[in-house]
Amino acid sequence: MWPRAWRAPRTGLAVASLISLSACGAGDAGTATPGSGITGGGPAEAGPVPAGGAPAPAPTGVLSPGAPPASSPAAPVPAAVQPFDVAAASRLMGQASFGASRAEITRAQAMGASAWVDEQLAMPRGQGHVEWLRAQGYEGSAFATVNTHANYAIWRAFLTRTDQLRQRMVYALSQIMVVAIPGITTPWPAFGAARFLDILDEHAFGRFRALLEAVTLSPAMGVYLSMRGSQKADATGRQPDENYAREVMQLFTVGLQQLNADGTPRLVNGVAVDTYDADDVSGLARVFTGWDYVSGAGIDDTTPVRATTAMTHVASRHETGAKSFLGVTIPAGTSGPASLAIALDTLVAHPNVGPFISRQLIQRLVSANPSPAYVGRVAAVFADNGAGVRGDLRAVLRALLLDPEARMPTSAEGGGKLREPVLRFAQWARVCGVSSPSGRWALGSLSDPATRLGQSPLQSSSVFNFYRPGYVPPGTALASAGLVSPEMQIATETSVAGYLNFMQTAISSTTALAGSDLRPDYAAWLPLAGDPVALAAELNLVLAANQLGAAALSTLVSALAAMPAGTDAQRLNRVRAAVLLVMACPEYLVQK
Amino acid sequence: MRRAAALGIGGAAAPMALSLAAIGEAAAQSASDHKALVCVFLFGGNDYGNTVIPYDAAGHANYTTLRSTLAIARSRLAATVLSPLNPLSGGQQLALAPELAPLLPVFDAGRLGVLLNVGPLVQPTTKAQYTARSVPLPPKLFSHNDQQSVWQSCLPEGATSGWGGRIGDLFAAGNGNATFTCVSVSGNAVYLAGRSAVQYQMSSTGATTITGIGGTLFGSAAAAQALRALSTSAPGANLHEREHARLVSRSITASTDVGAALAAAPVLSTVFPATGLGGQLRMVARMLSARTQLGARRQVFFVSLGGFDNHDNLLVDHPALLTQLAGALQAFDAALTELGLQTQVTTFTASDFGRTLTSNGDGSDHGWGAHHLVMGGAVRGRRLFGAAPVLANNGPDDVGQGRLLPTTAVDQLGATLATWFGVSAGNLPLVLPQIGNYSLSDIGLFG
Repeated sequence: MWPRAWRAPRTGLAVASLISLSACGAGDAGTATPGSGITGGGPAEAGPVPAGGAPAPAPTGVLSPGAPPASSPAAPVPAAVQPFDVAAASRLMGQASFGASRAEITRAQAMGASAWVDEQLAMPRGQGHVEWLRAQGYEGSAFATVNTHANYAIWRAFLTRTDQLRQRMVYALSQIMVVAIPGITTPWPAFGAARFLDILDEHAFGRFRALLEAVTLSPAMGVYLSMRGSQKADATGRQPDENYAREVMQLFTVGLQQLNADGTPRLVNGVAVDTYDADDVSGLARVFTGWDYVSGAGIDDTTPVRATTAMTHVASRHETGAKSFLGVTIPAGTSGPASLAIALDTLVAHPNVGPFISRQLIQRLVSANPSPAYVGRVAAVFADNGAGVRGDLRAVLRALLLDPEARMPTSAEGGGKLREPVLRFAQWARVCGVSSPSGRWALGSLSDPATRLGQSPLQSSSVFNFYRPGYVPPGTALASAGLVSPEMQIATETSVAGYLNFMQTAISSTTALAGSDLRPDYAAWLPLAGDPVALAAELNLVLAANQLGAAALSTLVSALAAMPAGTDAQRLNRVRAAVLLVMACPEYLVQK
Repeated sequence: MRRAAALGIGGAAAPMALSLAAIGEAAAQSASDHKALVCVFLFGGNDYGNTVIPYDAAGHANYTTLRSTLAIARSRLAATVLSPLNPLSGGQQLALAPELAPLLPVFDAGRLGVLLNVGPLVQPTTKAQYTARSVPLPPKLFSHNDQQSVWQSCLPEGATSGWGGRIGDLFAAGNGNATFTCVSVSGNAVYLAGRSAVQYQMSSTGATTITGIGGTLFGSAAAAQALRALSTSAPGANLHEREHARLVSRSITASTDVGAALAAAPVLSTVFPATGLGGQLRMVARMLSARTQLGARRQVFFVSLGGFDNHDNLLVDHPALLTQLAGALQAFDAALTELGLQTQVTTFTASDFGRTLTSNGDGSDHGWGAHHLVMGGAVRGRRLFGAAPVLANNGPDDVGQGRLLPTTAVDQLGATLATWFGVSAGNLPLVLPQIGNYSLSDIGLFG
């Protein structure tokens, strides 16, 4: 499941050369002219984006001041200086944002990777989800049983908030500590989901322990994994609900098998070792008894208060006997809240947590098959941020994104990761000037694989997320090579067609998209429409970080050149076609 | 877990030690008639306790004591009491859940059997052996994704092939179009992944066609052609890219084939319930009606229904799910009669695991063995198969809280179905590598 060999990255840049492209385009269609008119070129870039030009001469080092703390327990391997050119900046935007305009890419390139990441890590949080729902008027009694608006809140945040790295972290965390909107059966379910998202948002750059506690006590998780209402055993044979106890270990913290510090399975006599057994689940389930919605005078469901307030403890329902799990015994008579604190401390202290969580965060942001050394470096920062703090997610994220393995493009056969449909759609929306004139971002679930994306935030079909971190597509070269490709688990004959059809609709939407008022604005690119080479190069840069190779660019340019461009409508169609064609290329679909 | 749906498997893939693809090729089988196997997977772990219920007075009283708040009153079961041709000893009687009433006529007509206490095992296992951990056990018992994988693959965790797919391996070459050997109408399931056979994943509405590659795209034929060319080619070395390009190619080819075949096939008049599972089984029936056009002689299908992880609200949620299951299966049975395919199609239910018999207040927790249904004209219906477990909390047949220790292994069920399907005795270990651990490889489901 690991790459056989961690290959040194290529030092040169991408493959295609504009010269051969131009020749190709001109030969095929006779209309291609050298690119010109690209707006917003950054200081290191003059004129059209050199898909295969020479490396920028004055790189902004990724390991510039402020890179992983000197006291970090595992220092990154020394990397060859990697030019932080505009393509590299676009690549970083692909990992650390939901998509960036040319202007933002250019700005990031000028700043350098670490400065841009630091700026994001220091950025104040944008408007929260609960607050936004309120501002939209969704607190009216007509909405007490409606969950749809949670989707709107998510799209609004992912597509418009400027604290983009935080949003990507929220989305990544939502795929580890999973709740799904249809399973959030709190009163005011949209608010239950919104509060859960706010918890991820608040703790995205905070401490893992605090995140875990807030998630555990959230009403959304309380109902999703049925910890809310779980009671001590009684004489009728009733037992504590084991749902949360099991999944908090299997999925949110320690995983099923003991791990080495670099995330590889710890083998004893060649055999993997289970992290816990059924008795640990039963023991931990006894801890999670007695929690319920907040209650008290004046608290009812005329407002969303029970969906947005942490669960509180009902002592009479709590198991007061001793509780044993993972080698810890909580003495009889310990209160529910005190027992919970011990349990969460125990889980977070487990040596698996760092590598288990770090590897999944890398998979969500950077690559499906990170090297054990890379996982190990990030996990070491999880264990100790340099100041003796465990589970500092800000430091983890910084180390993860600025690691040499993240910053250098990969040419390994298993390198990179398939972009999730949600990331593709969000990137299109952000890059193509999508707006919601009403401000409601009224886009519902995009989960239908036949007609939409086959994926939508907080809409996975179970707590096991859209896909498993270890998913190996059967019968493929990936499987033969011992590589995983989680996102391929939701790529089917149906979903790949549904994605292209939905994007075609979205790209050409002028008034409404899937029940919303979302619409793109291609004004920034229309000036390039008369120049297929320039248009292709610009979209390759902004959408695909210049990953499209010569063959794909040639096909793209030829097709665009064959399209008439004499009228505004024709030029608009050229831009639309160019966007869809780039987003159909495997070299775009895989972020490397 | 909360809701559930098609999940693949987790964990690392151990490359098969043997060159099984090569063995599969050598072992390829052919057939002249048509047969199909349909797996109905109940994601989340079906609550066996409220699916097949003791009805005799003593049995029901014991059940009520064990289930407390979850028990179904005896009076509600009178209409669904089973009268099997092979009744249980000692006056024990079983009833189907009230919501399964639509299936009672199918049972009485001899096209439905009830399989008692089946589940994953490595080898026959007694309670004493379980307690002493003296025999190997399936990995990660009681865990959703792991037990789904074990049920579907009958291989250790991390398997990338399932026994449905491995059956497909043997027959794919004998089908006119190998693509339609293993067909999922419910997303990605390891059950249908073969060592060489690739599952084809369609939706309840059929095959989804990429609209942009036909005719013109944004007014341009060149753009439409480019969309096809670009989405299906991956010139680089990256394997994620290559696999995605292959997938899109397969999607395009298959949607053309399916579209043509369904258009040319006889119209199906049986009405299916407008439910998720109803829609999936209707599409299976339509694919069966197009079997000639699709060039298919041996097919394995996968459909599913999620939501069975009833830790909570079991008395409301579980009956609704069984209602959907019964309605869809009843319609599928009628469709097979309409198509004249009753004896050629066998349908069976499967699930992550059974659940606890004891209550957690308003639901049940993860278990192991469970009762299942086998349906079709070839099935020796109106019978109970396997051994009726003693319902208890830590009795002889459960490992605590009514979690059943299976007395019939999934391998045995799979081997029986595979043999009916036409898998030769010599090829059986290719499909179910652990079948040699059981003295009985055929549990007598078929005449």
